[in-house]
Amino acid sequence: MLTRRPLVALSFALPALLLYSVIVIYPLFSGAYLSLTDSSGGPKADFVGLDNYVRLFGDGDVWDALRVTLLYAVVVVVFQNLFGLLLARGLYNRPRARKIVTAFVLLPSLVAPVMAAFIFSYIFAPEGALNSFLGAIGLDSLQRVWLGDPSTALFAVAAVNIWGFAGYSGIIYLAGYSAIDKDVLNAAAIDGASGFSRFRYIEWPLITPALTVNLALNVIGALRVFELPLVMTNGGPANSTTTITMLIYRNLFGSAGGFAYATALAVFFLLLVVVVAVTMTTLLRARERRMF
Amino acid sequence: MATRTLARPNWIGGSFAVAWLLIILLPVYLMVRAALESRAAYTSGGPLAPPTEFTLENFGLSFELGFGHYLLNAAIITVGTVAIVLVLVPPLAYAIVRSRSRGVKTVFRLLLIGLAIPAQVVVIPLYYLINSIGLYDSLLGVILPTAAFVIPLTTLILTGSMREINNELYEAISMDGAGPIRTFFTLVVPLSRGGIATIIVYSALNAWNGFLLPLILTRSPEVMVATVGLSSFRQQYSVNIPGLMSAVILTIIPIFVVYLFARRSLVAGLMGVGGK
Repeated sequence: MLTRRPLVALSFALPALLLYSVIVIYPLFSGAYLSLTDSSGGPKADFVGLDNYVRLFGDGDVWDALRVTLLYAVVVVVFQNLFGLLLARGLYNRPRARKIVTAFVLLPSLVAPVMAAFIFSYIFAPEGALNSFLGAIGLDSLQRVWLGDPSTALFAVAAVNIWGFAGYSGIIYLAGYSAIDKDVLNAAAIDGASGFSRFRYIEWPLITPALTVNLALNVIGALRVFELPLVMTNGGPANSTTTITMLIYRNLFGSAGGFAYATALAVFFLLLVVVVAVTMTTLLRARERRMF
Repeated sequence: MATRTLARPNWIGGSFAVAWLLIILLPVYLMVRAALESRAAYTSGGPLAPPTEFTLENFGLSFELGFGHYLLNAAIITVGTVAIVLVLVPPLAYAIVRSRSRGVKTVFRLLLIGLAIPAQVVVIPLYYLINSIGLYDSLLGVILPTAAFVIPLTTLILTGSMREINNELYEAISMDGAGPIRTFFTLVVPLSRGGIATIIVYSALNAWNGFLLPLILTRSPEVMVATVGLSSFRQQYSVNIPGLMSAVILTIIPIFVVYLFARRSLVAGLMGVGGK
């Protein structure tokens, strides 16, 4: 049996691990080394220690990008979960509506981010569908150059993310709801518990695992956003949508000699994502244990 | 699972669900509408006016600009990625689920951290690596990294579905004298068909929708994929919304078709993640 033969087990695991190590782990470490040099892409590179990291902490662009990325993540995570929860709560108790709506809600999450970005660039364009619609219903005063105005661009990009993945979150919440014992909900309804108190005291604690999964997936996804700002705004206007991933990209292909610096930025970014992800799952798991 | 409870359905959530359905479908409608209209009609009518005439000339233009070739490349990369994932991931998931060795468990935990690794972090060294083994600007040079990056997620999904196989079945087949390989092929693979279908869909989606890896690892139009090709079309298309939308539709249609057939496994995969 496989259970008692580590070497046999290893041989089953080995091919996949080999590919993963060569393509992901090895570049990860050689990237970490590259970030300690002054490489500009050519073969000549000198070891410079932590110079790139020192530069990084004094770089105003990095702090700006960090602020943009975190704001983006907060907006996306809050609305994706709010909408996802509303969907699940509206549907779990309506079998027929649930069938129809769930047939569609996953679709946007399957569309490539690049494609979604193109569709919405066109909707948010100055002469695009959104402004035409606002004009048609007499709300001309709300018309904006959505992607060209620093105060709206980041939210317009976030809206596409939310459009794509709120349904995805909703399906995960629905799974949480279908794991709730129906007798518990029925008992509460017979006892005359109001909708809100049913939600607060029965549903909310019981969908905790779904909340954990959603928050973790959404935060990681939002921090890693790249194609949406790249296509929709290219980081602009006035850097208001320059996320960390955009800044890495710009350092890679933009200014000369940014290669090693871009790698340092990428390593810093990886640490950020891992720290946020691990902290969050730890906190959320602890919360789950308190609740049960 | 889908039975009503005595509690009255929540009307705020219910109305939101209807509104959300519209919000999802509206951009799709606008896109299709723009793609089916001639440029002249589009420019004069604007994005909201009901379509006056239908034409397929925009799709023709996309093919003339070589978009068909980009779609073919994306399809080859998708098939290649799925093939590699199918060969590598089921044995890995089997080893993780059935082995009690600590090494294998540790590997699984490290793979989960791999879920968080953004491709941006490794693209530069990866570019050097792919270049040095002579795969730069080739389809295989995109397939291998795409498959590698999808290993953590697909392994997570498949271990979830393999854990549901009853222990007694393993004992029974072991009494029969089956070794690990026969157990794998006659018991594990047939009983985790659902999970395998899900990882096929996920890896195909990842490959078809991939952007950063083909962007960094290819250069010439012969190996360009649809997502990257579209971005490079942008200049030619900047004033031609119908043309752009037709190319977007061509890229999305295969996904919708897959979705029609694979919706169950997609939802099942997500439900498995959320219900536990």
